[in-house]
Amino acid sequence: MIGDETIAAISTPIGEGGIGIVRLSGSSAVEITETIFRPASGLLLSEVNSHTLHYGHIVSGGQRVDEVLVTVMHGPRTYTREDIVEINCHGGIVATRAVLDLVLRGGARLAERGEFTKRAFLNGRIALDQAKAVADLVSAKTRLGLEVAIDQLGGRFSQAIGVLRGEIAELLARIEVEIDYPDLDPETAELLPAMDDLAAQVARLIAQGEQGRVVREGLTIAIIGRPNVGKSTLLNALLAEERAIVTAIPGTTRDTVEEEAVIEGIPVRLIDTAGLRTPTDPVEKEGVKRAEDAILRADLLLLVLDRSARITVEDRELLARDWERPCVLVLNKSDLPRQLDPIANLPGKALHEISAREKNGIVQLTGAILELLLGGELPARNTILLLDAWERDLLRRTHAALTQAQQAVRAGLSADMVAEELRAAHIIAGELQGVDASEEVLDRLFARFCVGK
Amino acid sequence: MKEYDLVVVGAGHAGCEAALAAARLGVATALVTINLSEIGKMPCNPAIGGPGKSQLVREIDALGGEMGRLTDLSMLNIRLLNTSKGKAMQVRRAQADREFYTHLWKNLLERTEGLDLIEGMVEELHTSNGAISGVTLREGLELRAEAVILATGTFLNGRVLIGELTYPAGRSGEPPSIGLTTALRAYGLAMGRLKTGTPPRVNRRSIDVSGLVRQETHPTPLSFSFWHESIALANDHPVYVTHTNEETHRIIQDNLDLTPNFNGLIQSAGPRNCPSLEAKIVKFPERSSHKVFLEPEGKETAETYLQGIYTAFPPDIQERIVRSIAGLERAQIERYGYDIEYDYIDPTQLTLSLEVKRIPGLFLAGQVNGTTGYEEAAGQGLIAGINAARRITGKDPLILTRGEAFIGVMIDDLVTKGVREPYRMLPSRAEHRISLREGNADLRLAGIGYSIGLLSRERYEQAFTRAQAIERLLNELKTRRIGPQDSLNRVLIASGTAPLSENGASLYELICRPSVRLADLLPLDRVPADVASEAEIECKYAGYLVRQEREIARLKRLEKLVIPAEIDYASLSNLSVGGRELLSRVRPRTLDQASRIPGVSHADLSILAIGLRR
Repeated sequence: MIGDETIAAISTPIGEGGIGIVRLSGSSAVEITETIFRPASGLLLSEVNSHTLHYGHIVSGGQRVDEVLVTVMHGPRTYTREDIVEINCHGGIVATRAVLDLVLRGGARLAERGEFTKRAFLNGRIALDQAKAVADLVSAKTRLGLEVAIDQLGGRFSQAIGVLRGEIAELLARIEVEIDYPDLDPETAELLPAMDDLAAQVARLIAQGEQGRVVREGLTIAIIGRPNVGKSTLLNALLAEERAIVTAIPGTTRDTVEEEAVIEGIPVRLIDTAGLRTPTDPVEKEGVKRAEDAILRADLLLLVLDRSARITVEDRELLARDWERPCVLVLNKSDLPRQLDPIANLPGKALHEISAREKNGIVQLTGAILELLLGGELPARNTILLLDAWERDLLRRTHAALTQAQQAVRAGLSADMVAEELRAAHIIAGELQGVDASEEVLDRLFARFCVGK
Repeated sequence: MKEYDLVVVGAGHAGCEAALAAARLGVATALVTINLSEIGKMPCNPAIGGPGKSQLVREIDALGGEMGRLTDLSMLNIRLLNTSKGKAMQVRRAQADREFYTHLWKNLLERTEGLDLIEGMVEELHTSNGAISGVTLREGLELRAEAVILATGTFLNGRVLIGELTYPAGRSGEPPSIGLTTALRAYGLAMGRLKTGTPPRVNRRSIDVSGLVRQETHPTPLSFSFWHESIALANDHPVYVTHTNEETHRIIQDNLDLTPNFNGLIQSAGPRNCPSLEAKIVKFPERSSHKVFLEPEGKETAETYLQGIYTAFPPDIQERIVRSIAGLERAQIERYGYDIEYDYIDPTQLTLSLEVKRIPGLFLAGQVNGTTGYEEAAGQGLIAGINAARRITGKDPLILTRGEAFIGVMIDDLVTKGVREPYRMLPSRAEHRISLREGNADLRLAGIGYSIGLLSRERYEQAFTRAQAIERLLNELKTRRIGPQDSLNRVLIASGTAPLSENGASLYELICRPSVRLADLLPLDRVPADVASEAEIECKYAGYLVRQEREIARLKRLEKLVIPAEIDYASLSNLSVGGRELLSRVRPRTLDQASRIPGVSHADLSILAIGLRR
């Protein structure tokens, strides 16, 4: 809601344009940016004139995170009538998210959807019809496929955080019951082990979020197959289909090309690997090694076969191999007469006939990828998907509150103080879900304890 | 026909505070009750206070209500609870003398200028141009008034159940109010049905207390009211504790089909807070024993209340249950336990000033709003009485916020969320409870009580003086530094905390350590105990208090975002269907209140915020 907190968010939608803008609004906007921005001019951001643009780098722990342009605008001549800073990031989605992350760690709170406009409206900056147009957008957005996909993906996170919140409520109920019902004979079970357990659980979720590539970088898909089956054509077809290339990262060797794109609303990193075959020279050897590395990093494989040619020994080897990750079988060149032998005994591998060159079957293929993702089969190695900074922010704050509660117990603070810390954790964990916190604790309390007059 | 400014219907804990407050604010008031001998009656156990409830009583006292003072004058014993859970959660609870408490209330009301007591049963409500205009009694008397407060407790369409017997009643032995229910339904008010229970009462002389645990009264005088010296009690009316056992549970298990709680007669929701013994045994079969408290009902009676045995079994089974319990083997039951079902009015139809949204001038307070407990009723009664008087005299309503008082939390919960079961105040419901202590209710609310004209200047100044004394002591603690003296360090080490280094520390810093008490550092004979204890809490809870203050300040800003009463939610086309329905029903006063309606999403709130300044 409206407060004097400084809010921040990525203000360009994911997958649109190469530049990502992180926008901050509020009294600490300049101050927060100053801590992570090193302007080339050497000026202090807090001393520059309003409505000026500054070139420099965002840094973290001495490392450059991104090359940026920073706009400083002092209120009230701004959109929200508050101080606004806009950081124009150039490093693509990953860098933009990293910058947002730093800003949030610096003390900003992640803006709610539509919150900049809300502030603009509440501060008397814009008129109702303008605001209404934004409101239309706010509610319309949820109808877009992208939002639906993200909501469904978020469902799994939401489930995990729901379980977590329930466990915090359970723990809290154990303290609250003794405050609400002093006549009850206290249970002697210690709180600390349960608290440690919970904190560890949150830490695990955070770690998964940080490591899980799907999380921040989207899904990594490797296109594999022997040489000349049409892997590059498929890559280009997938990119063209979406027309939403975020960045093009040149291959680190002449044989591996990586592209970022948005497919069906999901950020995707596509890796076109070198042809997989027994290498004959050192250069090719290096290419194959890169391809194997790419496969290890991938959440999903597209194994491409040439439908217009007889199956080869190399094809058979690739088909027989256990890839330890979901694999979609793509029979390319459906525009040419079929020569490929019937492929049998391939349990668990979905099969798609396409023509990468003619762009036939591409939509069906991307649809199948999305289905795998939404169906929970992807990514096999990540038990949870963290999709945006909301959730990471929330987990971090839950963890901090739980840590405080542990410290309170260790320091021998009284039950009412420990309860305050746990209540904070519980409320944070429930933030995204709009749960009636006090009722949830009471439900647990009455379910577990025989209390009352 | 008689003319008044205000008619209060019902003279229970809500009605008494309401009528008294209104009359004291200069409004000509009539208090109508079915039975003038039962004013301020405690049909459940005669205990007042406890977690959440003590805060309510002290807040009522700080605003100028009477529940605390009359409890002090009539109590048999009093205890301090939650002493081991932290100083901020400490609360007091007393056993009052039921008859004497009733007597005190009647006496006080009869002596109040501008207040008429009338025995009778209200059957009809009158409106004129949609606003309330008066009532008519069953006896035919018409009372005209600009405002009416309904504080009818469990009387609306009440039904008593015991075994397979059911009969219409407002309380055991008293008639229900049927006509009024019909009248309210005719005005289109949404109503629901709730249930609550009572336990058997036994003759004290038939109890053998020799093997039972005795709960003593507090060793030093303790009172609810801030405004008078505490009275020393004789400790001659203690509470005794006994337990149910496997035999008790077997009797209940074998006869479950005989209690209305399990034979299908009762369909309404009972309070989880006050479950019947049969419900406890069915729900927690692993427990082989439950506590039973034997509570004295008064000095002039031997009746003893068996707190913990809420039951509606037929009398012969109740007899067997009671006699299976240690100390009660030869107990003689004077009154049998019974359940009562009654109509309540969905409180989401009220404003935060407790006025019915669709019938201006009609206020509701107490159990009729779905609450349970004398303190909850009294708190609502006081606010309804104040606000009815303020409406009549053309003033803005008094609305206490969640950051100001437990009373504010309770009313906000009721009108924002509604009730699913009888609502009892509990500390866990109040998110700012560290700030809203029973010990600082006067500091929080005496200013409000005085400014609305209910609390005397003298009492207001008393609270102000105490606030100053606390401030002075805190300053002293912050400025006075102490060096690493051997005697002090020995005390520190003994209490498990680090000794002082050469730099020393302020007394304030020392008290912030969990195991250090103010009394260890300062001779406390020169400061009153209630000043020392508040100052100590201000030190020890400083971090939490600052956090809550910040949160309360944030709420204050949000509370300024008032939603116009006439807002048309249908015109906000982007609201979700569910959100629109909830908002239209509750019609929150502020954006902040809207944010607490379960089921209203963040997106709905954003759209509402944007639509606000149309």
